Amino acid sequence: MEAILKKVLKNILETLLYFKESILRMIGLRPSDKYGEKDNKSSQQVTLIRVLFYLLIVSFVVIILRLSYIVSFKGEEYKRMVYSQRQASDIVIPCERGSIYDAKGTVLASNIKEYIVILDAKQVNDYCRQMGKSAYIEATADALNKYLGYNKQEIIDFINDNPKDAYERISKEENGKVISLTSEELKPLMTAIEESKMKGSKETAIYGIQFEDSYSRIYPNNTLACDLIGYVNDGDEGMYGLEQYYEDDLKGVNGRSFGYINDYTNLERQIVPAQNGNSLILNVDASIQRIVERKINEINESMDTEDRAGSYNTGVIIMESETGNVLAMAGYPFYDLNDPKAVSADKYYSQKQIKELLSKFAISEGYVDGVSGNIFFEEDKEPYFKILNLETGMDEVVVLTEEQKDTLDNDLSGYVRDGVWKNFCISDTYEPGSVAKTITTAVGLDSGKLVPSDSYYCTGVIQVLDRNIHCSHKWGCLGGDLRMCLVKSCNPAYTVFGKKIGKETFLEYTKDFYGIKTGIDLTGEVSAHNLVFTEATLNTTELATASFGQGFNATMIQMICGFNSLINGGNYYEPHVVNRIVDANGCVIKNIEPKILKQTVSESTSEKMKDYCIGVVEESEGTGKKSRPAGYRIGGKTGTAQISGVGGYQAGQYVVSFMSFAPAIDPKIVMYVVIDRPNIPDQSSGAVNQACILTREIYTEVLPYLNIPMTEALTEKEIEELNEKGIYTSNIVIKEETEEESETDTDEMTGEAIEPVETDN
Amino acid sequence: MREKRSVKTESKAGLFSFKGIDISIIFVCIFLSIFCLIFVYSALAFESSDTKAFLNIINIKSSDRTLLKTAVYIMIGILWMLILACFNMKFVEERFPLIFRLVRNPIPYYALSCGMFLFIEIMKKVGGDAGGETEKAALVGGGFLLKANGAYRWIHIPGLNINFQPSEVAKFLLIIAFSIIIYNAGMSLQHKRGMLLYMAVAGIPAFLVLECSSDLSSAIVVFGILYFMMIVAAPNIKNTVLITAILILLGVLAFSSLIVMNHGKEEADIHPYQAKRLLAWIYPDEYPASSDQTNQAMYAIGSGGYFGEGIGNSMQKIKKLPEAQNDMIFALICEEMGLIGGVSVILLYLVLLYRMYAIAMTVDNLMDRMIVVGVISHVALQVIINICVVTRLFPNTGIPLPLISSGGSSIIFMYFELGLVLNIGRSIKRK
Repeated sequence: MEAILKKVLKNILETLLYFKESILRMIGLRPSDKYGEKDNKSSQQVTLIRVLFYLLIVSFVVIILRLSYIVSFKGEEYKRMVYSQRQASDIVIPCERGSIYDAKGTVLASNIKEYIVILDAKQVNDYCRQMGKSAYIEATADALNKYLGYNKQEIIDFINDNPKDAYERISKEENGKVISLTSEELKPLMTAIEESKMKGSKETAIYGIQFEDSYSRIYPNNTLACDLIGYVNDGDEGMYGLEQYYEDDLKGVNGRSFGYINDYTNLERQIVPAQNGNSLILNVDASIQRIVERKINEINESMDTEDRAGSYNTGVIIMESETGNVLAMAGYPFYDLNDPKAVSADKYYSQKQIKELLSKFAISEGYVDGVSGNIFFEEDKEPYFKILNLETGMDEVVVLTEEQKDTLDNDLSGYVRDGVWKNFCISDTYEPGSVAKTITTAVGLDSGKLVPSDSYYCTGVIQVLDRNIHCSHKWGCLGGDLRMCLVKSCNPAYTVFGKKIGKETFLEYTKDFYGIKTGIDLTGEVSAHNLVFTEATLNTTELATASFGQGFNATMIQMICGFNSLINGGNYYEPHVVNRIVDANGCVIKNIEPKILKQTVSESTSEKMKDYCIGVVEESEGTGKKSRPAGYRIGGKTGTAQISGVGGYQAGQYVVSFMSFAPAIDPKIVMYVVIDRPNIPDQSSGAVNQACILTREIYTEVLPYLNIPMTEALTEKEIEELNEKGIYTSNIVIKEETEEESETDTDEMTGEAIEPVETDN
Repeated sequence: MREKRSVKTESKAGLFSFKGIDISIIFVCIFLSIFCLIFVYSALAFESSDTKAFLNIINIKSSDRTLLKTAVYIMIGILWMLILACFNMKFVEERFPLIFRLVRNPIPYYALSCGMFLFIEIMKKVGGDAGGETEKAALVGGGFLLKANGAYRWIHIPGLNINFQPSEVAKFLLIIAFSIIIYNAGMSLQHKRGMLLYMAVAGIPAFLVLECSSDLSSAIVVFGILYFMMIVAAPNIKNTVLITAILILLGVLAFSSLIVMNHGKEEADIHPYQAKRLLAWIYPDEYPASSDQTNQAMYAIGSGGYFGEGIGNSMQKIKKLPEAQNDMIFALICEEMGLIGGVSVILLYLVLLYRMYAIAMTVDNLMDRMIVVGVISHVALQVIINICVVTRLFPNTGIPLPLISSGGSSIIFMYFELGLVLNIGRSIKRK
């Protein structure tokens, strides 16, 4: 016994001694045993490390397998879990989209608050359970039935079937799309709920109906500046115009209210407030815009006939000369921004045009062959086609199926919508015609290839290779010096001038004007770069036609920006619609300053160009005489261009335009008017007058509005006209009546390039 | 040892040298830190728009503030990593032999790491407790302790207004201390008695971590690191296997007894909370409240799919995934970047560990090798435990993912450790 005890004691003592030695060694008070080196155990350690590392790799592989298992086999289930956890407790707090104001603060686009009706079945059920009666379900369903017309039984069933659903949007359309109701529509229901909950009310309290805010876009001025503004689609995204271009600034960030069940199964909420979108303040002045649109409508109404509308498109841009700010921009036809989908073909096109379009679509869809198919509509009869059969010489009838008819209808409405929604001023290209002569002249003067004394004697026609180019005056306008050629808009003269300028110079200068995007802050600008002459395509004939604006395409905004630089000293401004962006509190976030993109011509060239353009309006032989507004001097240039289509230029299809600036000395604004295929009988000679008249009409009201003083004497007749329009002026100077030139005479003089290009044979 | 070193570096050593540094480790660290910044921000950015003063100068959103702070931690960490990596111990050894001997003594490291936890314990008693298990972090213990979720995991330095996690500091210090201990007295590990002694010495700080800051997971990691260092160093493999087997047996016994004792009880009545988590791990359906965190993490991983919802698009981070910027950040990565993102993070860690492994294999100094093994064990243990927790391979426990989870102490001291490894790696390359 004692021996054992002794042995144990000894053992303990030994161990303690061992511990003491070890600890002393550990803390370095005994010399280190240098075990790692002396006993050469490092190879064993290396093996152990390797084994442990393999174990590590194995565990990583296990982890990756586990992850793959979760993702591959449980992914769908877990994703559903994630969503189901959210649906009941996540509420979007809508943000308000930024508004759009014009330069004077007029609201062009804003929002109204509306409400989505929410049914909280959980609340109703909870109250029923608490109070021990089910009358609340009935009361809620009754109220919804009475004030909003919902099916009572469906509501009761829903509340009974979904006792845990605290959030169900019930204001819906037939197709299940959630809609919001205005406060007026909901007012009776709101009052009823409030009254039912008041003390002493005999009605059963209505629980479980809530209203969620939502915003919907309104445009107080309906069609005003529609192409400029664009609209907001059902998905709250901006479409076209400013709404799309400034989408990121306007849209804002929706807030959210997160409800979650905590450990004690209470619903807690956390709210992230919505950030409202920024607002736009435009350079556009709604008053000017309204004048422009009214005048466009008037002139189109005056040309309107049974067969077709006044014009296919009418575009007007007014720009500040010294800044490039857009004061107004309108592209007829207009549409109502509050109801952008309501653009039916009937509204914009005559029956005849619709038939033509449908025939065109039927051919392109392949329903009928050839180009001779015409669609016919007869009452009580399916629409059908008559096709001339060449072999028999008889008409064949093709009747369309329902499906084909639907396709054609879709094609038509798509075509109409596209045509109406897009902005004619920036998205459509056309041959600019004689307006381009100003650019050609400026190029010639600036490069020194032309001098003001260069003259041409016009005999009415000039031959370029195999083509004859005619002057608008059948027997020759006699021409004159450079200025007179521009004033008379003589095509043969410019054929010669173009040749004088030469291909290289012409190309080098015009690449600043044509085939480039101006950078206007609107969606949908096209550059037309593939519709412009290039080094490869600009041969002798092309150079000749390009010199007077035919044979290539441009957009309105390109032309006005280019022309503006010619008359303001050569500064090519980037056109800006928006002046500044402000946040929801009105603080300026971004100022959009005028930006000179390039210097196109020299100041002296610019002075000459101004003088020449004044000549177009003031000279007795000037083509733009009719554009002069009473009391002001302006300068400008007319343009008439044939539309090219399949098989060359289309007879009787013209785009007429007038580019102008006012006042003549020290121009403040530049205006460009384009009428696409005006509906008047004699398009060739009288058409351009429509553009001049529209210009004059707009200036007559816009210039006094801009407080630009009248400088010219007025005749009695003019004063009368002005008074009729409600414009009164203090500087009434009675000018002695000059002998009026006969109307027919003027028409002939203002007639423009008829059939500018035509082959001799 | 001293002689050997002087042979290795024949050139006249300055205080710092960049030669032979392992660039790949640095790059992997930077990648991981980029993940850290992206996902810490993603986890918090939605939270709220309330602003707080930052450095008393400007008002910024609290999520931006966290991002800034984390970026600063990472920068401090990387800077210190490079300083440590380039530092020439030889220089100190030659010029200041006294300091060198002090640095080579395990007592300061060991005492400091144990002392921090004793300090917490003392301050708890002295300073008094605010009482209750509040969710919000509160200063207690005479202003020296920061209490959150009922645990004392931070020490607060009042003058400098700095909070740090003593357990993270202790891991760093203990790796150094035990490397020196093994270097000094590795031979005693060949006996069972020696191993038991070692485990006792290692067990004290681990126990203090558990007891003083109620942090079981950190205690396990601390003990795990030191245990793996022992396994590698112990000369007698038979003893190692025996002791490991006994430990595993004990662990299984403890777990099963906890389970048997508590299974069937109401969820709220089970104490300690570790038992609750253990039960929730085995019977997730029976203990919904306790298994909720892991469930949410699994939902996040599963809903991310192969390619993820896109960075910033996590839905789970919104009030569902607890500590999405911290312990659960891996689930967030998987939700936003999918399986691909998750696996790339794992592979990045594998590259990091492999580079360190290569250093451990080639270095021929026992102490250096032990430091590298310690750091490898640290990184590997934390990565494995963290990811296993979010995939329910382990019971729920809070361990940060090295270098990715937000948290200053964890990031900075991990960089310290990597700095040591780089320093050691430099010495072998020069042979």
